[in-house]
Amino acid sequence: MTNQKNIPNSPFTKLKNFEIAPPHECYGLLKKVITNENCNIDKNLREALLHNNHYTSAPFDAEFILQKIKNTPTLSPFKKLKIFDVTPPFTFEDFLKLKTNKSISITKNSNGKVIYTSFVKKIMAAAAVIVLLLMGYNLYNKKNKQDVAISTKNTHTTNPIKNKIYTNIDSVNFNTNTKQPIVIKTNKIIKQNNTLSPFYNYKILNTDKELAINNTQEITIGADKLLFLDNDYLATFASFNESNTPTFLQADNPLPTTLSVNEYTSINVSAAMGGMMKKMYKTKKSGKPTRRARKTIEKLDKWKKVDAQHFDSTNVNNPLDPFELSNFIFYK
Amino acid sequence: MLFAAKYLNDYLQKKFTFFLALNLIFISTNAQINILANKNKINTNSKQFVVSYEITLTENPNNNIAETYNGGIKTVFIKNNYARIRLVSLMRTQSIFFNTQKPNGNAIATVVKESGKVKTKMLLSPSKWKLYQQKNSKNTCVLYNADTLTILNLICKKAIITNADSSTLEVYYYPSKPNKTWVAAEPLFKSIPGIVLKYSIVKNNKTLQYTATKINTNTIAQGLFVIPNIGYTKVNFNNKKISTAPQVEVEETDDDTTEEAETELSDSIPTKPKISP
Repeated sequence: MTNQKNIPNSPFTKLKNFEIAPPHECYGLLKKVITNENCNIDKNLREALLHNNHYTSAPFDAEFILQKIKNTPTLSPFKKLKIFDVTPPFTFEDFLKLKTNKSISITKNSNGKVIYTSFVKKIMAAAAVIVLLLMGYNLYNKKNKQDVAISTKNTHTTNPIKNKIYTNIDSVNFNTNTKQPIVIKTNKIIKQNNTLSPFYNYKILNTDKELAINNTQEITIGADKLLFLDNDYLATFASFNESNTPTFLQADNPLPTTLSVNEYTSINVSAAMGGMMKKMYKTKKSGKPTRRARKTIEKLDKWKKVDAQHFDSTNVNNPLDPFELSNFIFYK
Repeated sequence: MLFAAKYLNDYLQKKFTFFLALNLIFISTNAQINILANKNKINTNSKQFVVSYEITLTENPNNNIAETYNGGIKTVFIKNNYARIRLVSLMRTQSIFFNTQKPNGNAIATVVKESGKVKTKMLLSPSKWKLYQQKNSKNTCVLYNADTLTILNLICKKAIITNADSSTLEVYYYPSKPNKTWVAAEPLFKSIPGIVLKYSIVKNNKTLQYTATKINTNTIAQGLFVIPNIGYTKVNFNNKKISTAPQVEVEETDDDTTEEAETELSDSIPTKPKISP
């Protein structure tokens, strides 16, 4: 080695410019080997190696290297390297993706616990939020429309029951001044909340066919005027409550009364029927209908169903025929 | 002598005044009765009139479903070839529109349920109308000319209609030429030679009674005979169960188009009733 070092054109002499320091662990290992007495090595060489600083082990100092890079202008290109991200290795997340073919996001909470959230669940949550928003909008819209309808209809009612507003479907108006029936279209039919009977729960109608209403139908009972719900007297009366009962039903024993809609539609309510109607509005202190009220409503419901079954489900029965009507009402 | 003559003159004047006044009262009363009678009298040749009947139930102590029809009204509208028979009660409102000119394609009659959440209409061709009224085809009628009753100041005669079930309907009618449109629209009374003003049926010791309360001969608005469309579900007549179909306003092409011309009014021709001795 010594001889070669002195030779200027020796390949080893040129290689010194490309000197690469061995890993620092090598120094420690070499020192261990040299200091071992069993090691068969020349004493002078051992001494030389032990006292040479190049062979002393030094800890790997990253801070020192970074500082050196920072302070050395020629090493500044290394600074640019910090902007390059290194793709992480194949992880457990990728493994799960491959296995389940589902997208799973992994998040860590503050405690360091890993939480797995299904993407499907996220979609479902988003859909639920959208549905809730739509329902809220619909309810808001519905309420607004109802308020508008009530405000326009109030002009027709001049009675103590004016807070009860109904509209009804009836394309035929008995207005003798007109040659054709009056059909007024509106955007909705007002739903009257009725907690008494499921039979009278009227749905909000949406289709064009269902939206035709006749605003002019009112029932006149003495001084009271109330809008006629679906041309159905029983449905109209079942939708009242104790606070806004028609005047003729407020008496202890209701008298026979005439319900008049127009020149050709005027019927009489017997005292017995009036008494029965009155029972529908009885409420407890809590405001809920009494048992008798519920039973009365149930009875009316039953009658309605029986009547519909007899005259509507089979279209051979004609209520305008006195034989058929008497057969029905006297034997049911 | 002069005094006696003056006394006699005064006496006669008083008597004459009394008789004159009595006569005037008598004439006036008679005139009023005649006016009322004429007012209520139905001109059988009249092109249009309305008869309203009140429906009453008697002997109905129990509060049952019959009570929902008690106090209802039945109205018959007649105008030329148009007829509408309408029942209005607490329970239901239903009409039969009848037109011999068949404005709705082949349909001669339309049964319309006007009340309730679900309103329906059922168009009937002449053959189907015949089936619809089939129950009345075997009815018999006996006229009792001796029995009379005054209704709306009109002297009415009695008749008894008996159906196939042996149920009897007691009828009081004002004798006149029957209106063809009415007879066609309500063939139950096809044998009655006049305008029916009262009829009643007794069953199970209970009476269902229809009594004419008003006869109106004023002009009837044509709109009353227009069959409603919007909001009504069209149902088909199948003689058994009703089938609900979406309402489609198209001309009905019925398979029995050939027979209706003759059969249309065949039922409306009054059959000759028996006359009781």
